[in-house]
Amino acid sequence: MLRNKYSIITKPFTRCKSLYFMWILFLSGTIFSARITDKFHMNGYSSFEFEFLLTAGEGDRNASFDADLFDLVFNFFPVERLRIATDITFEHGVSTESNRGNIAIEYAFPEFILRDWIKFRAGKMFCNFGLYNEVHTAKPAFITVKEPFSTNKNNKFGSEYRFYPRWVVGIAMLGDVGFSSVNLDYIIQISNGEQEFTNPFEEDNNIYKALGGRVRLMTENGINAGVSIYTDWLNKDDTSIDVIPLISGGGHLQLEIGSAIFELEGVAGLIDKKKRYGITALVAYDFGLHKIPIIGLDLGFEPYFRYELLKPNISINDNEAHLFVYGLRIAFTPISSIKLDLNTLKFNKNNIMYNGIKLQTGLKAALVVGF
Amino acid sequence: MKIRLFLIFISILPLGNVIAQNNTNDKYVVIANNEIVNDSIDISFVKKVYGGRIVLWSNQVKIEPCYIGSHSSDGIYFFHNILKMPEKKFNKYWTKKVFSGNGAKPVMFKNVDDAIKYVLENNGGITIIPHKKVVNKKYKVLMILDNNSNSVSIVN
Repeated sequence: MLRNKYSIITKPFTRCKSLYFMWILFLSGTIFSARITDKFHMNGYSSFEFEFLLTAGEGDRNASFDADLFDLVFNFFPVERLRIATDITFEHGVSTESNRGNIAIEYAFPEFILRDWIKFRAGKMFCNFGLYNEVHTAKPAFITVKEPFSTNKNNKFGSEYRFYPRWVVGIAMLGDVGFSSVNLDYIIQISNGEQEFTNPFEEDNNIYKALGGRVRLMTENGINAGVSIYTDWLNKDDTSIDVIPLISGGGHLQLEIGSAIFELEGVAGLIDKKKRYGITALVAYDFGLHKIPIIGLDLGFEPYFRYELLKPNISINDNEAHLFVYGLRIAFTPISSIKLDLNTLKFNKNNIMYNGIKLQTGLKAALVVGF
Repeated sequence: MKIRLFLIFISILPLGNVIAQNNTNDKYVVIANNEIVNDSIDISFVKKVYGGRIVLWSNQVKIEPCYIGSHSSDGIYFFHNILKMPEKKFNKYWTKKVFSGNGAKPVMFKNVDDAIKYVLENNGGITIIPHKKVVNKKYKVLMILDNNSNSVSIVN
């Protein structure tokens, strides 16, 4: 009897075999230092969250659990000088049958390495701006439960439009240059930019390309300082060919002095001649690992405080938004931690998010694993 | 307010810090696969390799670094004397780098023999092993380090 690939006899077996192979692939990735072969590395992270609004205001009054995300990160080195990188995210307990959650590619690009100081990428990438945007989904990579509103998702904090998009599709040139104990890295990205009415990851809705870039200095003793820029021209609306300029510039500084961590990020810019700025400042202290006799575990304690300020339009008075985050990160294995945040939000009366409530406070928590 | 006080209370619970110490007096060597053309390197080069800042050897072969974790004295030497940072900080650095799409972390092994095997099997392989473990010339010895991570001589 002839059996082809569509045979009802062979198909279930093939499917089973593929699933088994994928399972083994997954297990081997998690057990053996997230490396499957020398040419293929798999890593990932997950975040399970809880949110509860403790006062009046907008937020989650039902104290909800959230299967926030499960991400798989792949690095593939098929030949010398070439790296293929991708991050696939499964958000909010994705279930396509019931149209729940979301699957997305955070980034997917080949990177051609000409020299250490000159590499090229093409594809979907994070917009390389400041400290947080490249890791905004990767909860193990930053201290708090959520990335800052004021400099990263300012559209949810009173701005009409973000300082820069989350992702871009285009080409990039990047590299590293070392000077003694200081390393300089740079990236320049040319992309479609962001747009509302068409898919910017497929086609541009105008001839103008977005230009972004960052230069960063990192020292061996834990100083990370850099400047970033992002420019684009946005169509005023779906049908109009009129464009408005979007220009954002930022600076960041990250210091580690002993066990203390300081992070400062500022962004300023204009959109359609309206000037605006945002600031984020964080201070944290890592107490290191401490043996807790009752539970027989070594726990790491890291309290933190973050302040955020956004001025969405400097020509309007009293439209600032402020956020105060008081929190604690407790590491209970080398790859997992629990974060507890108390967020106090204040919108001044001319901020578009102002809803008549002076202060609102919410609790956010996350169980985070990175492997 | 109560929650704020609770958070502050938990954060000041410290009960004895757990920090590993390196008491080894052994010499260490940086070894690499025979396929690479470099005959010697310096400590700054090694640091940049393990930071993912240098990814190609002089002959443009991809550098494939591996290391031994800090559960052993060899691993403690690597972090304490060469990288001069705790493994936790190294992991934190690489967490950001990997998840932001900027590279793949060096491979960690639990023992020296596995690290040597990795170097032999990968054209761009490099690792740091105790001098006493150097038993043949199937790989290049690029640098010998004393217990203060000073280069004491270059072989080859």
